[in-house]
Amino acid sequence: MHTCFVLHDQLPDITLKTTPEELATAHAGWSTLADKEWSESCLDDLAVFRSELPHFSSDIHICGECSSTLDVARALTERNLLCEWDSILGLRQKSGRGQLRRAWNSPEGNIYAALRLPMTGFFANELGALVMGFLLADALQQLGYNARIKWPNDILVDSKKIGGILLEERGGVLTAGIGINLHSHPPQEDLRTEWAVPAGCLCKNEQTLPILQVWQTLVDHMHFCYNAQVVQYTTEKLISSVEKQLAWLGREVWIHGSDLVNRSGKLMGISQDGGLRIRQQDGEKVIHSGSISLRP
Amino acid sequence: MAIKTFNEIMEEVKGKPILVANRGIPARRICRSIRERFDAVAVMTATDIDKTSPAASAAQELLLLGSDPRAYLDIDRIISLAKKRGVVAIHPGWGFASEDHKFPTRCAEEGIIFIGSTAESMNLLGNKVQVRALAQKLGVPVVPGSDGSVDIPTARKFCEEIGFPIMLKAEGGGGGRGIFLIKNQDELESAFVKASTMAQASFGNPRLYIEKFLASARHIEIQVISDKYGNVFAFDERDCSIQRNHQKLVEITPSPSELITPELRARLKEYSRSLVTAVGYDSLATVEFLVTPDGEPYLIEVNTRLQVEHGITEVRYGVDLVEEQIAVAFGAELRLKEEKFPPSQMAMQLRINCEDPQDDFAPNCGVVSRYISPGGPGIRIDSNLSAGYDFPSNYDSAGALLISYGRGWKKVLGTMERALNEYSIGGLKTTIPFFKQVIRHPKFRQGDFDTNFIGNTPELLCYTDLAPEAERISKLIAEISAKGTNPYVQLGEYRSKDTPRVGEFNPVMPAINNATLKAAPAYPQGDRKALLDFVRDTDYVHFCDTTPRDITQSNSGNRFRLAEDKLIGPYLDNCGFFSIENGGGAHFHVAMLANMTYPFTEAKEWNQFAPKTLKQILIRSTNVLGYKPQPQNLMRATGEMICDHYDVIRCFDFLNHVENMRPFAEVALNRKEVVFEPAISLSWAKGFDVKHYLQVTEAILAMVADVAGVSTKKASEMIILGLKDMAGVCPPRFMTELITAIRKQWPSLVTHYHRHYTDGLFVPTVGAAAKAGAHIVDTGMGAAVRWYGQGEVLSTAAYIEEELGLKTNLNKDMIRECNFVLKQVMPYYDKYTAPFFQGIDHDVVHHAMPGGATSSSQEGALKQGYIHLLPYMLKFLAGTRQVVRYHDVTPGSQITWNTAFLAVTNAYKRGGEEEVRYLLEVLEHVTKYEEKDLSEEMKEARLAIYQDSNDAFRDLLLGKFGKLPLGFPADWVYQSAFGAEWKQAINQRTEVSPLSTLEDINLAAEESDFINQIRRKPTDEEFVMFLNHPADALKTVRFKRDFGNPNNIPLDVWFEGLETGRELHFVDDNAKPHSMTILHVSEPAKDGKCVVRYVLDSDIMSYDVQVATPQEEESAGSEKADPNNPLHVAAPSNGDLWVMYVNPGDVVKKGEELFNVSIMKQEKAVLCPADAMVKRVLKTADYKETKMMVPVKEGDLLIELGPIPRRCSNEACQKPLSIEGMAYCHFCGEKLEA
Repeated sequence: MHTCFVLHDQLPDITLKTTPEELATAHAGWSTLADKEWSESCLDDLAVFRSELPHFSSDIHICGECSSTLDVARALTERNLLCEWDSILGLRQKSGRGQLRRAWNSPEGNIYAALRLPMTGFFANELGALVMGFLLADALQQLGYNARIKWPNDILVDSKKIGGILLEERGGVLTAGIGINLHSHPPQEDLRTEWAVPAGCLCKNEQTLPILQVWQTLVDHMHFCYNAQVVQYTTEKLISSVEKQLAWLGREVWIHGSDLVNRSGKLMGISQDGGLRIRQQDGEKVIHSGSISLRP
Repeated sequence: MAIKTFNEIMEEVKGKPILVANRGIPARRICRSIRERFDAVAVMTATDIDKTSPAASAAQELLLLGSDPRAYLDIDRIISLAKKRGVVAIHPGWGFASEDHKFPTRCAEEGIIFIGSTAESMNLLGNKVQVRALAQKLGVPVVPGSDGSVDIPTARKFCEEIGFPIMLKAEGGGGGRGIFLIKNQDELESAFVKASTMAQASFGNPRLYIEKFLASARHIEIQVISDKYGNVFAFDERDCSIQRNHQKLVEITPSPSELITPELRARLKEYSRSLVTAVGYDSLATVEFLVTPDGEPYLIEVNTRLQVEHGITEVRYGVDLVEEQIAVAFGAELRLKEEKFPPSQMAMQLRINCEDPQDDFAPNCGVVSRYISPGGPGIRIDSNLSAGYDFPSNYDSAGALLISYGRGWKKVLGTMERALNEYSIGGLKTTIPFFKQVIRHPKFRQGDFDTNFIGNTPELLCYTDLAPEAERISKLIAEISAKGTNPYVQLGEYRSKDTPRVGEFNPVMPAINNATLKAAPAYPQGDRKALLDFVRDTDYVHFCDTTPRDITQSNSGNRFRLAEDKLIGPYLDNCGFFSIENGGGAHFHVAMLANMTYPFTEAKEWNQFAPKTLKQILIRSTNVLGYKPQPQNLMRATGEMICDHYDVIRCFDFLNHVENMRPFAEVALNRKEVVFEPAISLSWAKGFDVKHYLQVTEAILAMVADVAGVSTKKASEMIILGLKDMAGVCPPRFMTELITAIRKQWPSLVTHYHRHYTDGLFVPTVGAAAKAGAHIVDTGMGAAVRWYGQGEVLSTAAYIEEELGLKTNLNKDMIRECNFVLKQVMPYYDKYTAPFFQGIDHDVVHHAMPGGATSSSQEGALKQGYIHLLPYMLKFLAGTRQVVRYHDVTPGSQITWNTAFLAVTNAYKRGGEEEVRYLLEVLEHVTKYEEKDLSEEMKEARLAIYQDSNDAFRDLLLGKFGKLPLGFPADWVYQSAFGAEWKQAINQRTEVSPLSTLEDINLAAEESDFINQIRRKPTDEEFVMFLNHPADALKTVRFKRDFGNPNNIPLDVWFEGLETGRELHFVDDNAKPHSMTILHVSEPAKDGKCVVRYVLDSDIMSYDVQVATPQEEESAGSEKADPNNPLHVAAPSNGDLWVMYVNPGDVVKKGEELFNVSIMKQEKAVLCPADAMVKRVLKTADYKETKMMVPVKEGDLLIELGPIPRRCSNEACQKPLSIEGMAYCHFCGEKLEA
């Protein structure tokens, strides 16, 4: 039996305090919080509200407005309150971050999560980001979405970017920051560059998705898939599973931000060390950094 | 003092050490004079870098100065070392400390003779401001300007008086440095500050003076030498007008310009003499003037030292200035008397610097891989170069001084040009090719130049720095040999170094007897009418041989080279063929893509080694030789060039849209010596019946008639009608029917039948065609016939003669000889260029994939993992051809294939094989049943058929390629291909030729583009190549520049490289023979390069070849952390450092984040291991600001920590004290405990 906590105390510079009622009224997606039974409690020195999470294998901590759920995760980890596969969900983030401290637009209504991962197996080497992408894409597919991985760590559904993953390792602890556009997505003008993949969100029309439940389902799938299958995979099997979900396989892509900058090539697959295999006129190359797009 | 003679000086100096405090060219020059007559000991200063330089060889002893490259400026040290050695005199050379007045002063103090000016004279004559005052006193005209150094307000006043533009010059400067050109008052102030700061830094003297800027002036200088007894010799002027950024590049004596009249010369010499006499000067000096276009001289400065260009004066007069200067320094009387030493030679010097003129004269350094210096009459060289010398980066870029001399300007020019062609410096960029351009320039040759010449003549920088061709070819051979494959032939890694070779190519070539060679051509040449009449009147079947083009295009990947064409060409020329098809189609492009051959040069050579037979080319109607429709002006240019080299021009259109052929017809029909052969693309399917093709023929004749302004009957006599069965699908009975009908309707029309072998029915079908009246048929040489080209000539001829009773007129013996030679060539092509899938495929009659495309398309499917879907794709082809009907030749065949590929693979991705099968069922259904018999379900399902098609297919449906031969397909096809926009698509579609809407190409802009890329103008041929295939044309031009003509390499070496130890003989483009033997190929080093050492003619050369990717990146030099040292913070693994948070001096706490490394998209924070102070930060990054990451390797030391220093005890201060043993805090002044 595991628990859902709502952080009632504030963590200075990291998160403001909040209550389940406040959260439930902040956005339609959070309204299901009102249906749960909450009791006041303490976690270490932090005041919290708690509720049961039946049939779920880890804890979820929800906080109000925060700098970034990754910061909240770090604070809780330092207090030994966050175990592997526990996660943080934030209402909104003031300084949500993506790769290399780029901004991640975070208004309420979407999933901003920080998931603590194990530091073993594939997560101990450089394939961690790929595994995470694979698990998430797989979990979304189980929910019926046509999800694909745009190498290395963006999630596309119906060719639009609906999510991103950032892995941060600090002091022996690996945390995945996961942002998923449920109800809204940034307008095209806000996107980084002209060649960025257009953004989308999972919601169709005016439907409302229950944020907590969606996240729970995803974590459930990912955790199960990892423990039951991925953890036993050989590297070859992992790579080939990832390739099956790779967006734009076989297509001509343009490469940005690595030493193949502004070149194009055919996307051939993933190499055994997680790099992207690109075929150009003079042979196949493997890139390990940079990003790809369909347009130059 | 008693006047000493030269001989007395020689006695005095013999055996004594004389030091040259310099390096490189000047040091070598001076040491030579020290040793010659004086027989003194030549000692040269040398820093560690220069100890083994070529110039150092001229000295008998070296005065070692240690590791600091700037040691040549340390006068005190040099003098003290000299004293220790017992040196009696020091020559400062030029540059370095040669004009530092401390030098002579210190030498005098130490009792060493300074071979040069006294300190007083340096200060008087050498100081720009002082000399102006002196000159004015003596009545020597000076450049208008300030008489002394100025400050900003004075400068402004002067500028107003003398007017802009002005030159701001450093008082202590010289050698053209420290000069700023100012055009207006606004620039003055900032330039002044900049100039003053620079002057202080460079010359130790920040004072500036002003001179008026004299436009279009010539730089004329007078060399003088004087002794201690008042004797002066003024030499003829040196013209140093050719300068760049005030640096001299070319010096000439006497000036080739008429501006320097004997009167002016005398005047300048008189001024110079008066200047040196006035100060009692007793050494060498040069007085520099600017002479305006109206002949007025103005003094600029006096140089109180030996100059770089002294050599030309020496050569002009036949004297040794350095020797004289040394003698004079020791007190000898000047031996040179103006009356006794008249000038005789004219001389010119070029400064051969190690700089890249095309890169703004950026200095080059590195190993001189090859050094061949010129020689012969009229040449003098002073250099600091040799083969193997690692030209250093620490000093100036002077490599050599090249002087040519002779009687008269023309001789001097000719000698210099010859010398520049002989001079070969490999491994570095030098100014040699630039000077070749200068020497050639008409203005230079006329002597009509001023100091702006180089700046105003940008075309001097347009050249290609070419090594001799044999050297370039040898590099190519070295590369292929080291790699084991030839990367330029674009066949991937078709073999490796260890793959067994086919072996040395040494074909046996039977001689062609003289009678045959001398026999007249079998067909009339150069006259279309005569040729066509001849074909009509003869009663035998004519043959066109396609071996050099279509056969090898289809079966040998289009890689058959001109080199091998040359072997079989002479035989083909005597076989009695109507024509040889030797160009066009994809061959034009691939010649540039993979054979690195200029296609029109290839055509020209064909006409040289096979002159008797007509040459035939294949072109596409709209694209001609390119890949997209060509605008009129481009088509005209390409068309004319085609007509220059080819006699029969076969033109086809995959839609048989005759209007598409019109523009080319206009070019070809205009040339009476050329035969235009419009060709009908043939398919065998519903709708494409004889009646249809007769209509096409009529349309063609109508168009030709219109263009030529004649009747259709006349038109039918002027052309050849081609019948092109690209896939080989039309059966014998159809060809019989078709040709009989054509011959009946147009009896005078010459017909030419072309067919591919793919369905296996070549011989009977060609026979049927010939029997029905086809005049000319295409066949190929048996040794090269395979699956996808044409069939074989002798068997076809035998069938025609023996089974069908027709006649031929072939020289079968010659065909046999040709086959014998070709048979020896083919094994190489078969091994390396044969298509992946081979074999006869009779199903081509259903799927209609043409010739060469068959194998490559199917291979593509295999490589992408869809081989299991291939049968479905072929079925799709068979079906779609019945829906959207056109002919499967380029580009139609590509479009059909892509449509099939996309439809099948996407269906597979959607729903596996079941989905594919369903798709094909629907397609079959749709083709079998009429529209009215289709169910609603079927009508819906069929929309899936073209939903995945690409833009090319849609363009085809819109009519953008031309008019579809049987009209537009049904509306549902548009619905399927365009989706929601299908109605607009139908509205947009057109039947007009795409050529009508093309705008002319901007030829001037294209030429500009070429010049930018290649830095010279293109030849006409290169330009047409570039307009048709820009990227590959540039590739070939660059290849030729880097490697020469690859057709000079024998076939086996082209594919396999040269084995170590085998001696290869080859010829270059000038028919000069060469030999090359590879001595050794090293194993690849860590950087992935291996070194090939080889002998080329009589030179040993080496060449680095990149054979593997480097194992370690350039950061092999990164310092590694000591894993046992807790103060070392290293990169945790290979990745990119993207932010470094600390700087040296920061005090950090345990657990604080120091930096962050991105490892395969995972961001790892590296934390501080303990409270400490940051001592060193080895790499830094700030991605947010700079958008750059720094690659790091696991274990690289990134931060070195140190113990936290003690802090100031003052509570208010508490700053960390980074220096040990301080008594007082240097922040707050508090006294510290010990």
